[in-house]
Amino acid sequence: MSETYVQRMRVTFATDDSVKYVGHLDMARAWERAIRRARLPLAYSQGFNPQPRLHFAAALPVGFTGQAELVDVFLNEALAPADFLARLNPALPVGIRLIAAEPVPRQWPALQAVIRAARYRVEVETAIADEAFVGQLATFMARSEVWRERRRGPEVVRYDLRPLVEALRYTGRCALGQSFEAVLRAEPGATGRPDELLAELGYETALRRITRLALVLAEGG
Amino acid sequence: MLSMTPEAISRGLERILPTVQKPARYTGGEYNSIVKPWEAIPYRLALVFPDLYDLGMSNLALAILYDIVNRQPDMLAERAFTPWVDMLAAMRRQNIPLYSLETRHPLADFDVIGFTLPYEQLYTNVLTTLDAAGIPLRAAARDDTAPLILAGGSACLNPEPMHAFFDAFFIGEGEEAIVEIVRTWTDARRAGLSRRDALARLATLEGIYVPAFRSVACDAEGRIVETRVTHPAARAVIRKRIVPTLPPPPTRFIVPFIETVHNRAAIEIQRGCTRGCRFCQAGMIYRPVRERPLAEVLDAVEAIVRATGYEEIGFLSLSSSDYSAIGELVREVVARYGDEKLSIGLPSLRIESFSVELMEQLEKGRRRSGFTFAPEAATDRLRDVINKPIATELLLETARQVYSRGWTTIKLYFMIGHPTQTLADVQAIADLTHQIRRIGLQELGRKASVRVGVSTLVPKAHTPFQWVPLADEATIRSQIALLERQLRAPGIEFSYNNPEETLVEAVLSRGDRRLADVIEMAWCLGAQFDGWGDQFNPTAWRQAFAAHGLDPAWYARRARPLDEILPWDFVNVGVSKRFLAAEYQNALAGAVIDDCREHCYSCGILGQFRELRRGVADDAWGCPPLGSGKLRQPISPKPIPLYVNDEMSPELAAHYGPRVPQRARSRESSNSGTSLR
Repeated sequence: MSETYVQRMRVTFATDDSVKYVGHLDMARAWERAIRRARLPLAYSQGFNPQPRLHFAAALPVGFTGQAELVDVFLNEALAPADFLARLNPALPVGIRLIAAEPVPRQWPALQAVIRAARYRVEVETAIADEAFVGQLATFMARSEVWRERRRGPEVVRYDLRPLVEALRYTGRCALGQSFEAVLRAEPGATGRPDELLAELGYETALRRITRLALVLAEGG
Repeated sequence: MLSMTPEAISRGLERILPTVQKPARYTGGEYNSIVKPWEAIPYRLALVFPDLYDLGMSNLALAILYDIVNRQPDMLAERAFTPWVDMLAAMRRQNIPLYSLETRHPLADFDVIGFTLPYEQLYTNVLTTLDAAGIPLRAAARDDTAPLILAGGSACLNPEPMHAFFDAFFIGEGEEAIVEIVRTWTDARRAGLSRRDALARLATLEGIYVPAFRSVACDAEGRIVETRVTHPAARAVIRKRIVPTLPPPPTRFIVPFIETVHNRAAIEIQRGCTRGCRFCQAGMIYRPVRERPLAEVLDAVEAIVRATGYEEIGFLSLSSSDYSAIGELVREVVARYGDEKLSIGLPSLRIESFSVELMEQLEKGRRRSGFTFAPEAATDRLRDVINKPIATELLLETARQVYSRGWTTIKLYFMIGHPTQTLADVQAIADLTHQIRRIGLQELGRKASVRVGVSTLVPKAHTPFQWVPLADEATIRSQIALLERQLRAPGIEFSYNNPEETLVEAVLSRGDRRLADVIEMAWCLGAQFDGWGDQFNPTAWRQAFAAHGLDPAWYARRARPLDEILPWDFVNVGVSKRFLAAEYQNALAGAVIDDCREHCYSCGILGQFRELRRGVADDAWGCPPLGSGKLRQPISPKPIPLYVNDEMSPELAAHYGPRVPQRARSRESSNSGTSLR
């Protein structure tokens, strides 16, 4: 890809319940249109079918909210971060809130390449007693391997969920039932999914609310 | 009736949205959607397009009405669509009634529910939608708590098949009327009038038809013998309402999160068409022609780009080539936006080289995919019959230019079953396709392709072909088989409409009041989403007709005498029955009439709307100026030989009828934005 942009703006943003059913590709298009409405100098790739240069760190699964999502926006002009935020904010749909913007060096690796893990808050509908729930989390962490099957397109992939779960922390009762925080690996080919974790804990079909609290970047990212 | 608070609905949705396809269809919250404080707004309208969100969000009528009503400080308009079958089932399980996308109020909480009905395939979905909203299907079963159930749109111009389900129909252009209707109904109800009395007040408005105030008597066979108005407030003839000039176009289009069929904003550059194609309902019912001034179109483009961020804008009209400033419009748009990522769709151009030049300007530097031609018939003679005279030579020359300038695919649309059609005319479809493919090979080589779509003419109400029988099924099938054999070749793709779907459309288009029972029963037996191919349920329809002792062929395949009372005769679209009958005779004689911008053929529109016409500028309408030596122009009769059709039943060979472009077509043709007619 030719490097014809001027500025690479790293943006931190939050998404709430009102946009949590918007899929990742649709979300990317919503960003592109918002940037066009704001008349920001978005850079496009070359060729017959130019693509907007918007690089998201990690797709947020449908149904999740996010408190600190990351996207690199490539611009054809350098803008002051405050100016960038002031222009983009009113052009975004309700439910997407900008938190911060800062220019990052061109030579930094792509966001997708430096994501190491993600921290989630999970709330699940259940009537189970606190100690029993804590016990379920502890039992999971005590296991050395947790083999699961996942459909990926036509094929079924067998994988070990356990090493993808780095930490579980009980965070008490909530309106829905019980809640906990989880740190799950998020690297290419090794991504832990909160829904899979819930299924393994015995809550495959239970109502849940999941928020991605933070993305963990590798050193130098 | 299901009643639920918006908060309870939202809680229920939390449980079901994770389980359905494309949940963002059902959440609202899109950019430019308008959420008003419910409690503070006295007049509340729900606008419903009774099909999927993905389709309905591309409907311009809905966008126009949403814009107009929400401009009123004391009114709100919110949207609802028919949920897909997975969502319908999930909502039923959770007891969630159909709700509006903006504030998630149950539809039953609104004052008025306005359905837009652009085509007949949506009839059963109206029932699905009412049912999902917990509202009684039949108008007669609704009590004083129910909202007004109203319909408008071109599939209401024969309202009778759906008469039992709507409290009222609106006939015509709704821009000015919608506010008046919502106000009149709501005020009447708040003043304590009964449902019936409120309907009577509504019936005094021009363009409003209340089926409960009209009775129809039939003979044993089902022919109408007498109709009567049964309430003093109601009108005997419902004349359509029109706007004398086009109101400013909406520009703050809602920007959906998910991909919809069109993914773009649209500007209506012109309403109505002066070409007079005899099969085309739109060409008859949207008269007179009104152009939007060039400056207004250009301003709207700018406003839309700023307000929506859309990558594409479609310029809509029935015949873009007839827009008087079309060359300038294209030049200006290219000059202003050529460097930006904005593409312009310009459907419905004439088949001529000027159109290719326009498209070349618009698509400069972009990937060129398909170019659509809609000649509708493959021989010069038959195109005269349908009054769409394009010389085959010109068509071939245009095809050559299209391929030579780099477009790789030409899509061709034809209809079979036109009046006087012979097997030679069907064969000509295959021959013409091969000729065009050969031109493609010469100009472009093997990557040149032709896609041929063939549908059967469905005769529509308010057209010169409203008396014409639909082709019989065996004939349709044999003609499709012939084309299938002949068009099996490299570089050629052939597709056609399902004859059973065509039959249902044809019956509903020209049906009468007795069909309401059939529609309801077919729906009970599972018919819904009739326009969705794989959802179409022919068994349900067959059973429903049989159960009511009605024969679809009686409606669709019977040649109707010119003096028969037609179920839609009381709807006056401004074009007189006398004009339509004369045009039907002209068709059978192979006689062509001219573009009526040039000569007036007295279709009736000027007589009906004389007062409105006087109130606007001389050139505001496509009709020739008033009173300036209006000559009745002669038609150009071309005697045609008597055709004998070997495979058609002889008694039908004299007729053979038309159709109007279907949804599938309009969806396709506007995709690439490059279609010639």
